[in-house]
Amino acid sequence: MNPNDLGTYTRNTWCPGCGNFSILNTMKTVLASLNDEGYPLDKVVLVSGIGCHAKIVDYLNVNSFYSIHGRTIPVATAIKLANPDLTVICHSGDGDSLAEGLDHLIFAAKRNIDITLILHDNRVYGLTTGQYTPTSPLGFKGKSTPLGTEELPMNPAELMLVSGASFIGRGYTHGIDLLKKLFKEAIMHKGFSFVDVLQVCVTYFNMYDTYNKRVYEVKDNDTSSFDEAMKIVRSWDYNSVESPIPLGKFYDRDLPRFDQVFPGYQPHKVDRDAEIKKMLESFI
Amino acid sequence: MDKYVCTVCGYVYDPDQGDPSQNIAPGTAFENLPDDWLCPECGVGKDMFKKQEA
Amino acid sequence: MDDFSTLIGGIAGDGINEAGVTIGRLFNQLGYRIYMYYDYPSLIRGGHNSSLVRASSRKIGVHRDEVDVLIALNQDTIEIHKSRLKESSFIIYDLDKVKVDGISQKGCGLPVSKILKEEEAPPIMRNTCIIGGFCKVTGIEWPILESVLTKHIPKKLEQNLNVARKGYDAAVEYAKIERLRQPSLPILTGNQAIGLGLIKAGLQAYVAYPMTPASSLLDFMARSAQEFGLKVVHPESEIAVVLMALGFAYAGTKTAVGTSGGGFCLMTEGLSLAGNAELPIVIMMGQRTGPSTGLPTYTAQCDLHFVLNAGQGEFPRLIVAPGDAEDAYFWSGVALNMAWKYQVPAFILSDKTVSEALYSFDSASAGEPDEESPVVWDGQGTYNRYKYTESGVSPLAFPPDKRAIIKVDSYTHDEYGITTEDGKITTSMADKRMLKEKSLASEMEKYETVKTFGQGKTALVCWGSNKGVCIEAAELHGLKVVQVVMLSPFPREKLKKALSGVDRAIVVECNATAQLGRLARCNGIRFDQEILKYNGRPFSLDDLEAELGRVLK
Repeated sequence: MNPNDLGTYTRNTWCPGCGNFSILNTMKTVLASLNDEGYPLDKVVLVSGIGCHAKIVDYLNVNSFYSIHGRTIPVATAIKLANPDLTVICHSGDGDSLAEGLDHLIFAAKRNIDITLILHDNRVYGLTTGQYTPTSPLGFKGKSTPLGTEELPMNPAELMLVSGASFIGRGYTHGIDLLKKLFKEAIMHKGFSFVDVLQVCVTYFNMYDTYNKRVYEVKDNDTSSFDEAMKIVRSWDYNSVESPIPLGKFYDRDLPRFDQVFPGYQPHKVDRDAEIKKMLESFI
Repeated sequence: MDKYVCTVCGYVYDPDQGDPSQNIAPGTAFENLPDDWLCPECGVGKDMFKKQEA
Repeated sequence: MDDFSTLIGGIAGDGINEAGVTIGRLFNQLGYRIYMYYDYPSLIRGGHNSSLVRASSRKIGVHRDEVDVLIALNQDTIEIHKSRLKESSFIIYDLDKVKVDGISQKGCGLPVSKILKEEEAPPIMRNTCIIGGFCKVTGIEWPILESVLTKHIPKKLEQNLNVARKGYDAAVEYAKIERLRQPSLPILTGNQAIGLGLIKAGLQAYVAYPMTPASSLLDFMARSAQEFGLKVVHPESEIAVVLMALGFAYAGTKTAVGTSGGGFCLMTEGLSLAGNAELPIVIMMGQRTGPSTGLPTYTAQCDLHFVLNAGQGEFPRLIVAPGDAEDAYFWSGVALNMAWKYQVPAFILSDKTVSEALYSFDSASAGEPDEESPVVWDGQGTYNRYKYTESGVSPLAFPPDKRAIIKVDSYTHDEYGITTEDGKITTSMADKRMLKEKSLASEMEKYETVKTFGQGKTALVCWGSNKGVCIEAAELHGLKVVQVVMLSPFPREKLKKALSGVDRAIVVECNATAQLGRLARCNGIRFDQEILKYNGRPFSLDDLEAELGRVLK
C-alpha cells in the first residue's frame, strides 16, 4: 500500500513548520506498512480530540471518530470493548489529555486497555492561539498568563508509568525514523501504549533549537524494568533548560488488560425472549 | 548528489533515501523534487531548505 | 376486602424494602394487583424507611394515605405513621422495641427478639419474623408464606423459615384476606421494566455511574449481563459514560445509559456530540428532587425542560415518559428502536416514583417492543456517513467494513464526514437534522403517544408517574384523563384531539412551575388549572382528591 494514498481531499491547515506534519507522515507510512503485514486498514479506527492535533483525522482516509475536547479515551475504550479485533489509536494533545481529559487518561493506564495514545505534545494551546498547558514550563508567558505561569509542569511519562501504562515511549517530530519505529511498536503492543511526541508549535512555542540541542535516543535500556523506566522518565522534568531529553522506548511490559478480562457477553448467543420470560416468572 | 537541510526544523533530505511518505523514490535529487513537495517533518516548502555544508 | 394497604417501617438496615416486596408477593400469590411506595432518606443505617404496599383486585398505580395494617419494627414507625390509622386498622409490632400506649386500635405485639435469640438469627431477620406474624393476622396461610420465602430468599432459608414460623405462631388472627380468582402477575419496579424493555428491543450494552434513582437499573443490568449477553460498564464519571456510549454506537453496539439530574448535567456535551455526529443513544433520566443535590431519594418531575433543551445547538430528540412498569417496558424498547432508526438521542424520562415503585406487570397490556433494524448501507459506491437522503437518515455502516471508510465528526462536516466551514453545507446539515425530526414525528404517529382514560368534560392532564393517581381519582369523580407519553417531538395534534370536548383541563404535576403546562403553551395549548406538588413525595390518592375538592368547587 502506498502511504501517499492515505490522504484525503481536504486542504491541510497546519502552519508551515508544524511538527504535526511529521506525525501525519509517520502515520501514513506505519498504517500502510501494517496493512501490508496483515493488519488491514478497515480494522483501524482513529479517535482524535480537539486541537490542532485532532485535524489529523481529516487528513487520513481511515475510519475515524473526531470527538470532543479531552474525550478520546472513553470513545476509544468502548470501540475496543465493542470489537476487540479493531486497532484503536487515539490522537490527543497535551491540553486535550492532560487538562480536560486527565481523568480518562489515568483510567486508560489503570485499565491497561489495549489502545494507543499518541500525545501531540507541543506544550501550548495552539488552536486557541497560545495559552499554557500542563506541560508548559514554569514562567510560560501565554495569552492567559501574561506575567508567566506560577506552576510547575506535569511529567506525563512519569504519570503514565505510575498509573499502570504498559508501553511508554517518547519521540520528537524532527526525528521521523524514530517516530515510525515507536508508533509501530506502540500500535502492535498489547496493552495501553502511551507515546509522548515532542511536537513543535512553530507559531506559539518554537522549541526546535532547544530540542535539537538536547534530545538523545536511549539505547540498551531494560524496557521491562519499572525502576529503570522511572529513572529515565524522571531525568527530564519538562521544565529544566539544561538536562538532556531522552527519546525512545522506555517501558514495554505484558500486563493484564481490561479488554482481556472484561466479560463481554455475546448477545446473539442468547435466546432473549426465553430469558425475559424466565425472569418475569421469577418476579411472580 | 547534495543533501539539503530544512532551516526550520533541521530535517535532512538525503537523495539516496528519497521520501516514501510523499512518493519520492530513492535517488531523486533535491532539485528534481516537485514544487509542491513539503518537508516531511514540518511541512515547509522547498524554499526553506539550504544545501548541507560538507 | 378489595383494597388493602400495609405499611412496614423501621430503620435503614432493617431490610424494609425487601420486606415490602415480600408482602407484595404474598398478596400477589392471592391474585391481587400490587403497588408499593418505598420511602427512604439518603443514608445507609438509621433514619426511617417505610414500604407502603397496596393490594387491590384492579390494577393500581398509587398509594392511599390510610393503612389497614401497620407493622412497626421500631417506635418511630408508630410516631411517624399513626395519622395513617383508621378505626379498623391493626398494628403488629416488635414488643421489645415498640410501645403502643395511647393507640386505640387493635394490635398484636410479637416477641421478635426472643424468637431471633432462640434461632440464633441475625437482626436482619426481624422483618421475616414479623411478616410471619402479619400472615397469621391477615389469614394468609403458612404454605403461601413458605413458598414465597423459599422462592425468593437467596441464603439462610431454613433460619428465615424458622423465625417466620415462630412469628406466625405467636400472632393472632384478625382478618381474612380472600383469595381472588385472578392469575398472579410478575411484580417489578419501573427500573426492572425499563431494563427488560431495552433488552427486548435488542440492547447490547449498558453504561452508567451510580446515582439514585438510576443505580438500581445499573445493578439490574450488571446482575443480568450474562443471562442477556450484555456488556455492562461502570466507568470513572458520567462524562465517560456518555462518551463510551457513543464509542459503542460508532462500532454498532446498541447502548443505553442511566442517570439522574446531576449526572445528566455532565452528559450534556456528549449529548450535543450525539446530535451533531448522529450517533444513536438511549438515556434513562430518573428525575429526583432538585436543584443540585436536592433530595437524592425523593421524587420530582422537575427536569422536563432541562431534558428538552440540553446540549448546545439544535438537533432532534425523542423523549418518552412512562407512567408505570407496563409503560416503562414498552416505551423503553420503542426508545431504543427509534434512537437507531433515526440516529438521535432518545430519552426515557422517569422519576424516583416510577423507577422504584413496585407494580404488577401484565405482558399482554404492556405490548412487546420487538427489535427493529436501523437503516443500513447497501454497499454501493463510496460510503458517505452523512449522505443526504429523503428522510434525512443516512445509512449506517460499522467498522470493520472493507468497502467503507466510516468517519464521524463533532465539527460541522460534509457528507463524507470531513470537517467543513462552508455555509451551504452548514445549512444543509441543519436541514437534514430537522428533516430527521419530521421523519421521526411521522413514524411516531402510529404510536399511542397521548393516551386517554375515561370520559368527561373536565380532564386531568398528566405525564409520567401521575398516571396512576389521575386515573383512579378521575374514576371516582367522573373525569377524563389525558396522559402525554411522548414529550418530544411534541404530539400537538394528538393532544388537541384528546382535549376536544373538554371544557376544563387541569394539569397535575410534581414540580413548581407546571412544566408540561408550559410546554403545551409553547405549542398553542393552554390548560385551565394546575395542581402541583413539590415536596419530594408523590401524590397519594387522598392528596389528589383533596386538591380536586378545592379546584373543582
